[in-house]
Amino acid sequence: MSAILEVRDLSRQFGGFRAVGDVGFSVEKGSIHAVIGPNGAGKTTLFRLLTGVLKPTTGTVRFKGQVISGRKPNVIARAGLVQTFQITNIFPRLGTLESVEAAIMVRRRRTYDFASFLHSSAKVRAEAMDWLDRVGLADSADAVAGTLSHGDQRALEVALALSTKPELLLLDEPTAGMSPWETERTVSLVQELARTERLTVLFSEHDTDVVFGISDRITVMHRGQVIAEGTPGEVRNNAEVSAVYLGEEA
Amino acid sequence: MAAQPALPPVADQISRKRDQGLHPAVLAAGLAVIVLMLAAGPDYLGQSALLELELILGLAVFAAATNLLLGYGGLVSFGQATFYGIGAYAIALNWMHWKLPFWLAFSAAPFAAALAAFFVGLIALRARKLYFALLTLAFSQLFYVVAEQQYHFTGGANGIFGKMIPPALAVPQNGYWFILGVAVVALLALWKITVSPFGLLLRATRERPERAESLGLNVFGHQLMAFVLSGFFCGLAGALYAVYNQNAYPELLDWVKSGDPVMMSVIGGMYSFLGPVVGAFIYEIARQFLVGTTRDWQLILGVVLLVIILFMPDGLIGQFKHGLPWRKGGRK
Ligand SMILES: Nc1ncnc2c1ncn2[C@@H]1O[C@H](COP(=O)(O)OP(=O)(O)O)[C@@H](O)[C@H]1O
Ligand SMILES: [Mg+2]
Repeated sequence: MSAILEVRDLSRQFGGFRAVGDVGFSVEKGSIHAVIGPNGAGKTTLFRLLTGVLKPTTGTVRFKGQVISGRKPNVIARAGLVQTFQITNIFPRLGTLESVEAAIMVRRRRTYDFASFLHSSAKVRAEAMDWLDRVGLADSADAVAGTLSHGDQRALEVALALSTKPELLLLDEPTAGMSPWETERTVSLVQELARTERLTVLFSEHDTDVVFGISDRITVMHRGQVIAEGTPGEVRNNAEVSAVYLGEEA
Repeated sequence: MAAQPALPPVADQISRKRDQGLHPAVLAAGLAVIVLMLAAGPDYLGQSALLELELILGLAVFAAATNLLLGYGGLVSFGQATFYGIGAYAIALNWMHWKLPFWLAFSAAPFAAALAAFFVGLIALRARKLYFALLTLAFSQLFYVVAEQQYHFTGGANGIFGKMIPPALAVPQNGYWFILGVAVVALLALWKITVSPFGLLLRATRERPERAESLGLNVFGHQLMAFVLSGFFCGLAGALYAVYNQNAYPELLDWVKSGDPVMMSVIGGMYSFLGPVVGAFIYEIARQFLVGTTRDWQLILGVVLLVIILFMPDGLIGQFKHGLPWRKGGRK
């Protein structure tokens, strides 16, 4: 086993406020790794730092041994590190199938293809259809993406990221707003992909039930900092973690 | 339960749904008939009508090229006349100074415009939304001022007039057919771009540029390519104007002129490919009519535009696609 992602001393300052402070951890290749923590802990900010959407104030991120911090989001995505967004971020006025086709076109480096007809590429369409099927959206292929239900938009969000065939997939609270059934489907898809495609998954959740069931490793954040890390068993028995979560619930 | 997301405010250019608008085969057949009727124009139309059509055909290309940015890319440029004017000036300047064959100048005109678009886009696209619009406007004025002040090179405010097209094209029917032919080919090329993978990704950048970027797309590069392509076809439209009117003058580069294709797109509908083309016909015919009847034509046009923006945000074509009361199964 080797680390696919190494984060060192990563910080992000918003004005005088430190949303992420000196965070360090590694993600093993092929693992399912969770980042948990109460709302405002800095999980979303951390993910945005990793994918280049935000620039770190200090620190470095290495992906597959290369320093990627400071690179542009599209360069990082092309390298194989792709994220889904906690606040659904789809293309509202594109078709559902079309949206996935768009992501596939990017992956296949056909962005400057003017010659072919979009709707005649049976291969791309079949692949897009396959992704929709896997996230349970096959019936909505023709729908305008912005008209999908909230849960379906979450699923499309996941399909968009998956169709770029990342090596490391970052899911920012993927099941937020999903029904238990949708959550279950998403979780088992992620598990299956991690197994069959050797996909590494780093995801954030505040629903701890989901987390303990599927994670190989868990990093716990609180107020921008890592307060604990370990296997689900270790984290479950960590006193500081319990205090943070109990404090939340009180 | 999470709240149901609001319906998208407008329709989109491509929809697989066949219950919206006309069936593609019917549409294609209809358009072919219209083109054939236009081609037969000299048989049944008078000289002035043909000239008016020459102008409108060029404007239709101008509007469709501008709408590649506006409707497909979500980029509001108030500087597309820069490239329209460059297309016209390329022909006029060549005739005045360099005296290379007209056909060479005509072929080079869109490339000259595309080159200018590359540099303008390189700067303007670095800025966001409003500033992009303002920067394109500023460049439009810059080119306008240069054209107006370099009297010895450009003829200054008077522009350049003269027999700048070959005798064969000066024959009225030939000139008309030439413009019609080039306009149809240009519109087909533009349409092809919009239904290609490039066009799809351009629409994705319009929707959520940061999301497209997170999927690995170089959004700046994509928008720059769209800007250059738009500039190319705006330049071609300007070259057609030079064929129609045999002149080039600073107002062709003006930001006021840049507003025309934007208004045409809004009137016809910027979320359908043919919207700007239809808009060009309506706008120019209405303008001709109003100029002849009232001095306040700009005011009336402004009111009409306001009504369209308020009540038909998808323009006339968009309204036809999903709003007409007798069409069932339109948008939910
Ligand atoms: N762009 C921003 N500007 C200022 N503060 C921000 C910004 N983004 C996030 N924050 C703050 O950073 C903290 C961490 O937020 P976030 O990363 O969204 O946490 P989480 O995803 O764990 O809920 C919060 O207090 C939030 O208000
Ligand atoms: Mg968050």
